[in-house]
Amino acid sequence: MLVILLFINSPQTSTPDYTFPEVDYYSINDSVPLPVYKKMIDSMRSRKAWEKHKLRSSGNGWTVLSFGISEFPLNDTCCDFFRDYKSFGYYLRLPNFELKPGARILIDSNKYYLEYVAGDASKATARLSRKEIKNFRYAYGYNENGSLLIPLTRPGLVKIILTIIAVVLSIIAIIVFIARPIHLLYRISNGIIFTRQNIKTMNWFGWGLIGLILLTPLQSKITEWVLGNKIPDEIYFPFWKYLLDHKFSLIGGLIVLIFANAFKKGYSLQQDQDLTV
Amino acid sequence: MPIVVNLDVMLARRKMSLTELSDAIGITIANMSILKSGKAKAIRFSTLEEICRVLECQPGDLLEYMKDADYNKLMRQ
Repeated sequence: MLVILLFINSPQTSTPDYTFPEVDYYSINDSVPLPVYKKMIDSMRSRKAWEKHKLRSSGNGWTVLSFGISEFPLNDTCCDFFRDYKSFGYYLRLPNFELKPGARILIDSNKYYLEYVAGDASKATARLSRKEIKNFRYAYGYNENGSLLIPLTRPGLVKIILTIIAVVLSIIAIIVFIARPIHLLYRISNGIIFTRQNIKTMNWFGWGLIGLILLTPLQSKITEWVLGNKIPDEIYFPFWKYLLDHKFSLIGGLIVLIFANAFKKGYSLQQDQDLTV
Repeated sequence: MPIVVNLDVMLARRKMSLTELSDAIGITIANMSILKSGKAKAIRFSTLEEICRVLECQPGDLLEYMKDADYNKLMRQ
């Protein structure tokens, strides 16, 4: 089970690009021209200010497949040494949501703000574009791949619902990914190869693996649909990037399905052979 | 497949049991049952030849083509 989950939630190969250039006083060469030096210093200051105001969202929490509940100090930024450890916030964590280029979430007095580039941030002139700030009713965690955090007023109830989902999914996962494949290997080792049961097991495994990967995008789509226009355009779920990050799991699922089809053909030939008198 | 095997009819005409036929042609009773019940997907010429020799009949006496509707109706009975 752990192996499967580790395989599915394998470390991401790409990291989101919301950082500023890594510049420090020591790395600035003395021979750098003054305009470049000023630009680098500005970048460094901007980055330090950013680090001070970004939410790390590191705290307690637990996850069911890809979503879960997080509990962490309300002002959990990197440089806030006067953090109030007594007041914790509870959030529904939806991972893999990303910010568009130039956008970032800031915290000030426990309130969240979205800073974004007015106009088209993807154009070359984005650096010269005006930045605007608006209130943001949710939070955004910058750990791992970035998560959309929806504040919970009744975390207990959500926890119960997630626990029920977790129990049901765990039972299904144990049957589909462990019990039935072990039974399949046992049958194959005993020479019972081309049977309907084996084909069914492989189909369940293949589709289960693909379904597990597609569960996160599906969940993000449902979230976007439920929350409607409350999620600003600057936060989005990168569907194709997500698929690319999980390509090996998807390919694994497809390979199992190909095997299932080969076994289906084998079963048909076996039937022809057995029913020829 | 709307091909009907009229083996039971021929056995009744020759007053022979399935076990006697299977013993005479050297094919297991299980395989003969598959053939008689219409579950068989194919029949070897050698098997057909043996059955025809023992039952003294033609292949056409054993096999019959039916229209799909008639065949399905027969299979439902």
